[in-house]
Amino acid sequence: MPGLRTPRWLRTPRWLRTPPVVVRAGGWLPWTGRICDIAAIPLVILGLYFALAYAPAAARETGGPVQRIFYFHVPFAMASFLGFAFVLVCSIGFLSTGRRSWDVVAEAAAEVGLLCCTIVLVTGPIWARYAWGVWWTWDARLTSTLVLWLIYASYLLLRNYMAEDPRMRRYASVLGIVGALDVPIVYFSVHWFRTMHPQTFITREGGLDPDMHIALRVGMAAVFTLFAALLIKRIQLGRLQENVERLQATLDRREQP
Amino acid sequence: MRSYLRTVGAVLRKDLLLEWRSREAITSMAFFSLLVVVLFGFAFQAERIDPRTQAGGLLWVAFSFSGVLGLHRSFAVEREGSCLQGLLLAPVDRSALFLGKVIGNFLLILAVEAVTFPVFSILLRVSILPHFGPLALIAALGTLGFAEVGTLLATVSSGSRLREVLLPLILYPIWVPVLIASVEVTGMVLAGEGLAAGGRWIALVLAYDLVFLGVGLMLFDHLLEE
Repeated sequence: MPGLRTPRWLRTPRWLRTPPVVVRAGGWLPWTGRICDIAAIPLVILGLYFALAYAPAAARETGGPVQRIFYFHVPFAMASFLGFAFVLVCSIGFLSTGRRSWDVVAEAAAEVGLLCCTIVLVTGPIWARYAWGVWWTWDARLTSTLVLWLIYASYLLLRNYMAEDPRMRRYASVLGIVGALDVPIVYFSVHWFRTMHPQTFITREGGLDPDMHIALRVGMAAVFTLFAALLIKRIQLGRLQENVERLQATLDRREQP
Repeated sequence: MRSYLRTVGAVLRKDLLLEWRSREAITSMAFFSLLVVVLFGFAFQAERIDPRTQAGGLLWVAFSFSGVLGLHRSFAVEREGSCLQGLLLAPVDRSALFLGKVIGNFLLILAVEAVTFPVFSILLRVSILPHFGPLALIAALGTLGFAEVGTLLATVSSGSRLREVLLPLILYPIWVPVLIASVEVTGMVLAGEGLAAGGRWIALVLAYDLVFLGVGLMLFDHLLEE
């Protein structure tokens, strides 16, 4: 009956209705993110100064001037591990609690971690070209980083392909856990794989000059701040997406009857 | 415990019976894996294939490719006629469903390997009969790992629109360590070095099998909730 509507005085007053969206704008995330944003820029500039000017030049066989890429390469590798560790923890958290906020963090950490891993895989060969004379070698550490990159790239592909499926979050969490448990096995396998075929390349370990240590610490501070800034931005973006989806669903419900 | 095993057996029996009636999966997988061996024979000049460094690799790539076909088929069967919904309505432990399907896929891929091995041996002139025991052992262990992770991830990909595309994309990166290990051990065995040299590789595959058996049993339930 189209003419019959609830009289105004019988309807729930506007201030009593449940708000359609729970916008969690508050909390510690926005201001922490802002601090990281502001700190990241000078820290990266400082890190560049320490890497390019402060640190002493390396020996020819470790790449000479190109070795300076090391002060960002290694911190990015650590940051990517950190990101992937977040994916594991948040995937377990999501599967055990079913709260979406866990999954939002897992997705953000996978993206930022994969970005760091990509930077590692790009800066590594640039150094290797000068130190070893080749862009790539199937050395244990390189290979395991490549497999790590493949695992998390496939994780993000799964999320993309199934974006509109409600089961996607659970599926992605399972893949996040399976992928993380695979990492130590991959590490052992490629390690033995390569020690079977002897390599003559020098590993990068060995005594670092104290000034090099300082430059590395500054680089780590810069990269970790940048990582935190990007991660928080991505989490906030994920929460906004959640809110948009919820608003859309509420609108659809209201238009239907 | 007894009823749990009976559930596993029932799921396994259903999968094998379905496969036996149509014989679709095993025919297409065996033919495909034969094709891969023949293509490799042309691509790498069959006379020059070295048993130690190349033959094992060819075999395991053929198994990985045809194994994915079998996993697709095993879940396509579940979707047709909403068989999966029926299974989920049954008041049984979901992990028993997982175990049943893993064993089914394992046996299926193993059967394909049993067909591929002799053809491979004849076409590429690699003798396998003297090494039958060790080869069977590593084939079984490697395939078990493939079936476990494959069944888990095929459940994931079968929910997607792009299921045929998605499964290899998410499965192969996870499968890398066992592929390396199986190829190494197969190479050693074919070169006559024996299993002893590959002890730690076999330990690695065993660890992989155990880890992902546990993971699969724990997580399979989460994949089936609607």
